[in-house]
Amino acid sequence: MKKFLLNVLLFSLIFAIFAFFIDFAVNKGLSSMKDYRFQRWNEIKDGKINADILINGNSRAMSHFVPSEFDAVLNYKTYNLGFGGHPFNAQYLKYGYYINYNKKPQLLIQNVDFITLTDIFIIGHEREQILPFVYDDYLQQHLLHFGFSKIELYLPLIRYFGYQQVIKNGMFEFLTLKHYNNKMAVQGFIPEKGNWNPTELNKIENLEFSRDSFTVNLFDKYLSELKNDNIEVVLVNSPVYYKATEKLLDREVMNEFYKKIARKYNFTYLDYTSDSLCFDSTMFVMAVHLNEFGAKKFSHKLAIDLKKMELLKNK
Amino acid sequence: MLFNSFDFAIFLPIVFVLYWFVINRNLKFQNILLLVSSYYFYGSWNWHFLFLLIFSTGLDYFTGLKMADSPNQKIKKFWFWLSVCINLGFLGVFKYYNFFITSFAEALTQVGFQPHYTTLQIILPVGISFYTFHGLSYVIDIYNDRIKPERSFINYSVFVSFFPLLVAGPIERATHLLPQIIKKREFEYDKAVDGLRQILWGLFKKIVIADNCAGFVNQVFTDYQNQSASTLLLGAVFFAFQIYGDFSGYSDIALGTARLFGIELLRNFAFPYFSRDIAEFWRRWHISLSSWFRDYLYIPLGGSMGGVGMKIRNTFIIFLVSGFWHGANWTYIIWGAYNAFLFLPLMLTKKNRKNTDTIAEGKLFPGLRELSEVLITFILVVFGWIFFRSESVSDAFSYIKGIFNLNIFSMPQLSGYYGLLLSIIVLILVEWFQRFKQHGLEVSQMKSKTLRWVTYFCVILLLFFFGGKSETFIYFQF
Repeated sequence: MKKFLLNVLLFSLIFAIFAFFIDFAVNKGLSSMKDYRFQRWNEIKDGKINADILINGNSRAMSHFVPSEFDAVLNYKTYNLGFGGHPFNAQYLKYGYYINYNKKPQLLIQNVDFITLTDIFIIGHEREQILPFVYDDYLQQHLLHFGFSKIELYLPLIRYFGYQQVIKNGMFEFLTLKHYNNKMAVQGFIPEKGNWNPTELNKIENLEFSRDSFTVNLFDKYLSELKNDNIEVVLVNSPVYYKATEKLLDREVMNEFYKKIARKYNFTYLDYTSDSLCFDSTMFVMAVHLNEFGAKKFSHKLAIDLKKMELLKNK
Repeated sequence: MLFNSFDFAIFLPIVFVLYWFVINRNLKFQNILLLVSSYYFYGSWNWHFLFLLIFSTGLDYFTGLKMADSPNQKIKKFWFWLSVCINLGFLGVFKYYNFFITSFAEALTQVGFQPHYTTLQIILPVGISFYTFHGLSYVIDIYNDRIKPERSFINYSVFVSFFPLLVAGPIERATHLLPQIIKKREFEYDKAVDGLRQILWGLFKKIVIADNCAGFVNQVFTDYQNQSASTLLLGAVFFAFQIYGDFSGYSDIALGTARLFGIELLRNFAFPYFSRDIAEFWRRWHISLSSWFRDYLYIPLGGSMGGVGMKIRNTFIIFLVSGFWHGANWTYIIWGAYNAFLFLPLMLTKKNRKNTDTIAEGKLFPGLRELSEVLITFILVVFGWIFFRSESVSDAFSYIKGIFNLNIFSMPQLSGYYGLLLSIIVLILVEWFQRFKQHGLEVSQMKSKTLRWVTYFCVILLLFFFGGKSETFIYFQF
């Protein structure tokens, strides 16, 4: 019996060492890969962004706010932190990760919408993006609340289980057998390419302003922290194709909610869901996502509006 | 708790260490530990259904004792039928109520009535078909005086609830498992090591083969109207490997886990896709269920004795019931009937026991005749699986119709699945060369320990590098 146990332990030990090296290689490989999923977390960790204007939010933030447009109009360094496919709790995590390595922004543009405050507590969409970075102290502390188990956070390789393509890509990149050149983000912005496709819109029956009490409290805490840090905040509800807005059952409740919470901290809430852009399908790829052209037009418009509001200290 | 989860990877060593190192001197404590662990394992899905499991266990235990102590046959019969009716009643309510009510209502609608009916929002308790059959075999065996009832409730409960077999079998017999539970168990190094190997091979089949096939199969079966004939055929073939990898993988993990505790479970799969005819296939596929139906249904009905009419009737009954056991859907019943049609000619011509040995004995590769028999059997099985996998009978027929199309000669949409194809080839080769063994990774004959360890490392790495997204086991729904 002891022989059995010793053999199992020895085997596990050898495998653990081996797994540690593979884990290291895959992490390194993925971190150096040209792919927006890993590039954005890397850029943050490098601590060289230090943006004056920071954009936060979900996929609508990620693909609606073009930092170069803000740079040009406002003459401030802008970065887009948008976390595609995730509601506010994950956005808060990413913001915390950002300020852990970069200086605090002067102005934070927070995209808000009907889905921002919903109750999804896992990092599910493109989960692989975070896998090479889980040993980061900040993330290790917080990822337990986002569907990661302790085993995944502390033992090598386990978290890559089921991500066969990611492991292979990481290994190939590490061993320089292949260099990947996938889609890259520019200052965090990822454009939506393509033309208007009504399929998704046709599938939508009704939309609802979804609110989870924990997420709402977290959002409130976040705004309060920003206030305490003297960061100016603008809550922006970016354009939605008008036919989708018509399907939103409690639009007024949503607008009232965001207005009220903005007022509480003396911040601004800007609603662009009735903007002229919303009536032009050529600006969209789908119901709630602008295409690259639409994103540039919207960002330019917002930048001008922000300039008029004089929220930033003049350079 | 799934066998392919990290929770199980923690659970199993803890129970193992407690079992062999802390309470190894006391059989009673070992059995209590197995029972508590099994209930924890089962309760981690849905603890509410633990009560059902305990009730079902208690019912069979109690009626078993009552039958044994009955002063006459009439009372014995009463307790027997009480147990059978309640067991089947639970199964009927949880598994078949909605099916019967909707089928009945549809039939009435066909003849002009407009019935009002209510379906129930029922969650199927995991493993109910399996543990119900454990219990039934026990009471039937007592009723037929094949066994004496187990007087210890703990021992009997371990027989029903032993965690490796609790949710998806193998379906054990009291005659096989109970004596092992009652007897003092000694740790056997070789058995335990081979148990680990079998677990590893099961994980390979589940994670690398089944979970990867699932992605392709789900895509093809969901959108079969827009697939080419060759893609549809490949989808069906991949499903054949998915269900094999999934279920035989589960069985391997179950058998391997049980061996770690010094318990041998019934073999459930014996390389079924190397069968040369359908009869051989059914002797090698889900063996514990086939033999259960053979012993408790087919033989009591008269088996293959009697006239042609009786043989046909019994064959259809056993295959239809087997199909229905899998689920409350006409697709399973048609699947059963289809297999009965394939099996009947063999039985009526007395060729159903032609291939009772292992293919290509004493040879490295099969002859051309054997190979063609294997391929024909496999293709027939694959067409049966289409019914098994489809959402409805009409979907299954449309799917099959889609295969019989001229674009069967086009290249299937295999992009992104070449690794899977390679994995399946590896599976076939390994199992072919291991076909005389109990499982694919039985490598105890390898003299070099280093070589054995390298083999294990390679399989583990395959799990990481080629493992698909975690899917639950298909047979949990049954």
